[in-house]
Amino acid sequence: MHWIDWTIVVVYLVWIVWTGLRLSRQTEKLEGYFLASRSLPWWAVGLSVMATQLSAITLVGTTGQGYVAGLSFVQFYFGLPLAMIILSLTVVPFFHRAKVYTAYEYLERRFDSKTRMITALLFLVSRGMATGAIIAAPAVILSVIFGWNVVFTILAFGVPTIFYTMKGGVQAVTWADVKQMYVIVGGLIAAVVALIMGLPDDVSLGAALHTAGAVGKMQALDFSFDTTNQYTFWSGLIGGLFLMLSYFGCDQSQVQRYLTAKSVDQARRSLLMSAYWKIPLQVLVLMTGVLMFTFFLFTQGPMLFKTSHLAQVQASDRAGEYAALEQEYGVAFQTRRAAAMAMVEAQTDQTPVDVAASARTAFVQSDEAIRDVRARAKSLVIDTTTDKAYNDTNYVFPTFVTKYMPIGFVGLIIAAIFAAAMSSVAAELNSLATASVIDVYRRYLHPVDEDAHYVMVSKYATVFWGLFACGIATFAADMGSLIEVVNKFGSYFYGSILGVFILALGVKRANGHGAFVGLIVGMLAVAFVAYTTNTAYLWQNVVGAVVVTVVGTIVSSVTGGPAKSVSDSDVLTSA
Amino acid sequence: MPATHTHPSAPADEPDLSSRYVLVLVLEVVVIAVLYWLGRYFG
Repeated sequence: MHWIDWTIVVVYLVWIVWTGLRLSRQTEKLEGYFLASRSLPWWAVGLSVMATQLSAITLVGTTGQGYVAGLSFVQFYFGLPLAMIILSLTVVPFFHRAKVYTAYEYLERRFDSKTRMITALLFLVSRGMATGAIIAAPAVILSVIFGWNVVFTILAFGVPTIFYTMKGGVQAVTWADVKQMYVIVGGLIAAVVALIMGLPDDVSLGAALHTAGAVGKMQALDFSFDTTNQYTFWSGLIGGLFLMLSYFGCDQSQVQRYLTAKSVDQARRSLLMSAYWKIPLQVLVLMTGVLMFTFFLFTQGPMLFKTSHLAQVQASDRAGEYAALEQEYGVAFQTRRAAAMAMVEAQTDQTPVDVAASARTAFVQSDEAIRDVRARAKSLVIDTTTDKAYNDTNYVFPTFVTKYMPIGFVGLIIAAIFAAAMSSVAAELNSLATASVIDVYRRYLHPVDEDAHYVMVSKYATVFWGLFACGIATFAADMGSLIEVVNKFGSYFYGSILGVFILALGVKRANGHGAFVGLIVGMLAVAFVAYTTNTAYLWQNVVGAVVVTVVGTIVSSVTGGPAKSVSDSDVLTSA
Repeated sequence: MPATHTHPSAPADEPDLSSRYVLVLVLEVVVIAVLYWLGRYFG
């Protein structure tokens, strides 16, 4: 990387840490450290909510997804706006006026200590591991692209993030998130501009998008009701609704964002920012991937974007076979380039319909030939290296940035990848420290003391979780499948936790036994569905929430209803 | 039981955001319609 790009990345890191620390106030009080004394404006909280959700793997992986599969992944977010409205009307005012620090605190007030404990522990374990995965994924990618040491890359993300989160608490996290969102969006816009400028002079943006559309990459919507298909309109709208309700309504890493808002109205407005902007932002991310596809139609990229396997393949007895595939790829690329140019030239009103149609068919066939060569190359790599998880989707964007973007742009986009990683990790560390101190330390180990003591313990907890996540990241870096396991574990409990909160807020007769048994049965049901069927994972959230609610209601009725008097102020409904 | 200001979910003296909720839904429909059009036009 050029020294100018290095300078941009270093300036970004210093600016973020300085911003976070400069804007933190009253962090000696527990409410100031964890909830910003409930004083933040809606726009800062809203940007923090968006920055927390947009991790580096979203930025790098989703652009790769756009390159490979086009815009269809945007359907994943269709339930989000509806979820934000439901949460604004229900849990946002509820949590705000209940004056809780964590979502799990409310569950003890409503049910019992064991329900609070199991939900808090599930959050701590899964989020602690997931934070490691959030750090590991971009660290592995950047280390492969730049040849950096993985541990160095993990520490480059981790240490500044731990430092400003530990020193400034939630205020440092939020104000850093605000700046990080500017960097992320700026980086994406820079990439889009560079991609459009990178098209040949005689290829307009519209013509390039027509070529992408010819191979299905502009097809965002799939209205089929197929529960085995990961991304359809219905799985995004219904399954995505349950996932987003759980993530934004029951996960401390997001609940804590809007608990810092200065009023219920400000908290609601902060969530509505995501409702307005999340889908357009995802379209921008995916469109970056589609534009990379059009860019690589006219500029020859590598046959496979993840090159860490090359030495091993070239040292194997199948090196000749791989070299032959590379030659075949070069020929196939030239054929596709010519077909793409012919298709572009045929997009005029004067071109006869049959000529335009045959140009399009020739282009589609040439793209299939490229995909066939890539598939055979991947298969050869998997056979040679025995890395069954080999996939180069996440390497497309970093490869484009580092090899084809001008000096200065590279630094900006690497800073954007850092920003996406750090903003998510900071929010996770802050929420992990909050749940550790409020739901475990202050609740069970040390119930009465000064704020200064709890703030000090919170700082230790932040450092502990930071080091834990970096340790998991170092371990996970060598085990791609571990990241998958961590994400799968998270998907088992998202819908089920939502079911517990539905019971708590919506079923007045529900009790702690019902919630506890319902949660266990719900998670087992999701695991059963995941392992025995091909049901897409978004639907598993629906399964979890429904099973917990039904089983929890039945068990509560059998065990005699609520063990303690439930006032109308503890639930949303008096039914 | 009628809602009171002591209920954690009760509306207090806050601005009514219903028009914003409607706007969110309208915008989502518009974005989905635009995505549908993109697929048809460029597909």
